[in-house]
Amino acid sequence: MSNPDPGDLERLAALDLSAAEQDELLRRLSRVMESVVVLAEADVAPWIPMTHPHALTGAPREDEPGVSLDVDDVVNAAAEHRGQHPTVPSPAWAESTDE
Amino acid sequence: MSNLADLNLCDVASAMRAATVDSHQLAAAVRHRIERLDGELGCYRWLCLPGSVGETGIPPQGASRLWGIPYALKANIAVTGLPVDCASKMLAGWASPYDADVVTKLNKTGAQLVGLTNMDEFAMGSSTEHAWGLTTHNPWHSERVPGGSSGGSAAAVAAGLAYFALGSDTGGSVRLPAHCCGVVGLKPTYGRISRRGLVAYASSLDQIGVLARTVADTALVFGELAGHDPGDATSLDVPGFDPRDVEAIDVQGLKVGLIRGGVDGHVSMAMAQNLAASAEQLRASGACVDNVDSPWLDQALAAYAVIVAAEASANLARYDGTHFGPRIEAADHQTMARRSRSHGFGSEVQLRIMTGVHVLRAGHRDRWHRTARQVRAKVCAALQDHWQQYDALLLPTAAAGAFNLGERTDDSVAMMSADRFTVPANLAGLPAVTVPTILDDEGLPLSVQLMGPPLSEPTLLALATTIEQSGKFDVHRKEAPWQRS
Repeated sequence: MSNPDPGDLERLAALDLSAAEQDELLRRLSRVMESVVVLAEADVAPWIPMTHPHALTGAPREDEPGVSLDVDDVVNAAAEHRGQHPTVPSPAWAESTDE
Repeated sequence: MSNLADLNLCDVASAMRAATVDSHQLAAAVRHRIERLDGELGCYRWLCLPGSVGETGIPPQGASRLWGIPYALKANIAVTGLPVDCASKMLAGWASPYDADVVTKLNKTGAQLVGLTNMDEFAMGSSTEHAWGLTTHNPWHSERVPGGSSGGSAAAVAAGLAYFALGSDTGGSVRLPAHCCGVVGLKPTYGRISRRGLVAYASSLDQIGVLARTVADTALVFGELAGHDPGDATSLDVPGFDPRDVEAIDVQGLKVGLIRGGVDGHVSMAMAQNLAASAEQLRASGACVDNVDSPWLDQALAAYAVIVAAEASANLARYDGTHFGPRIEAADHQTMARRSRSHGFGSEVQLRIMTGVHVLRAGHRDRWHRTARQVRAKVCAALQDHWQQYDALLLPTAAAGAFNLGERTDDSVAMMSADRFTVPANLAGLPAVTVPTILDDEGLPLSVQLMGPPLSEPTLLALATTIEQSGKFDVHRKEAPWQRS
């Protein structure tokens, strides 16, 4: 496999590893990826990727959109807004840093 | 073998109805067996030893046949107030606030919960060695693994520490320990037993399954658990299961495909002979057994490895030190989460999460995850073709008997290779049952596996009964090591 960036993988996995742990996990990950390289040789062009073994029977119903809220009501209810667009208030620590 | 703890579930259920045995005696027999053996075997992570049910200990009129029967649950199935820790430090101290659907159903039967059994952390493993704080030993040979990930459940049932147990099967985690410990293991059709309350590992593959000593015992338990659950979006809305359907099936004339290609050269000589002997037993009972090829086995295992890691990395993202388990404090949330996860997860879980994010990340998703899902579709189609000709497939559960403790703990690829013959049923959502057959030269149980089309559990259990009755595994059980000590 192409060499992954260890820091990138560690960040995506939300882990905090020592250098030794990182090396060990990457070594084992390389072994795993070598073992699945048979997938790269598989003739799968006609096949549609499969997510689930059976059709779901108890899936939630389709959304039924209701009447939209009035734009003025939404803007007036927002903590902050810029013109007709609600905005996210700055966090308290950001304000204190600005000072 | 006169000890009550060694009798089969159906036998003790009948004895209780005949009032020759009561539930107090069953509880006492199992409690005694636990006190004698669990220190060596390490089956249970948490015990709530059965006490008494009812005043007389005799089932009331109309009660389920499971009434008063002591049973065990894998430690990833939710029970209100119990430490369902999935054998992980990440869930240390966490107690479930609700019951899994299977627990609700078993509570209604009046069965008695004995405890929560050991497992590989978050069900990731094939040996029950990747468990936080406890190692389970094979009751047939203390230096061998019990299989995994439901190893505690299988060992408990085998050695009389429970009459039946539930496990979860994502890639073979019920069938492989059943094979290693010499018990029957059923992985039902995906969705036939509700997964509500089963801690998620890989949601498109996970299925709760049953471990018991005989096929009839397994069918009895499955009959109490099968059925639609509106609280599980993946639950199949099909009729439940009646154990009498198994007895109604005539094996004569059933067509069975014996998987050869992809098996020869991948199993021990003893296993090859065992498989051939089981095929002969089915032929002798009137079934028609033909050899079939299985060129998809190699690709199925690779596809499984990618899909299971991808789904695991998503499912385990919820464990971030905020809601569950120990928290390692830090100045900001991200650092706290990363430190808590590194502290809470064992190395095998960390590896699978890393593998999952690797195959899902930008630039790699099509190459690995999409291809794996295409292979999954291809394997399903190949199996679908088999069902045009065959009622079931006969194949090994594993390459050989249980391997040594410590032999594969640092080699995830070797560990996962134990699942070679079990993952196809998970990829395709099919039912499969493992039935013990013989002991090999080292005194370790061997088994065979039967796999069939969706909802074919009655046929599979009928074929398994034929193999069970043609063999003499019950005799081996009477001479098992735990009987002698």
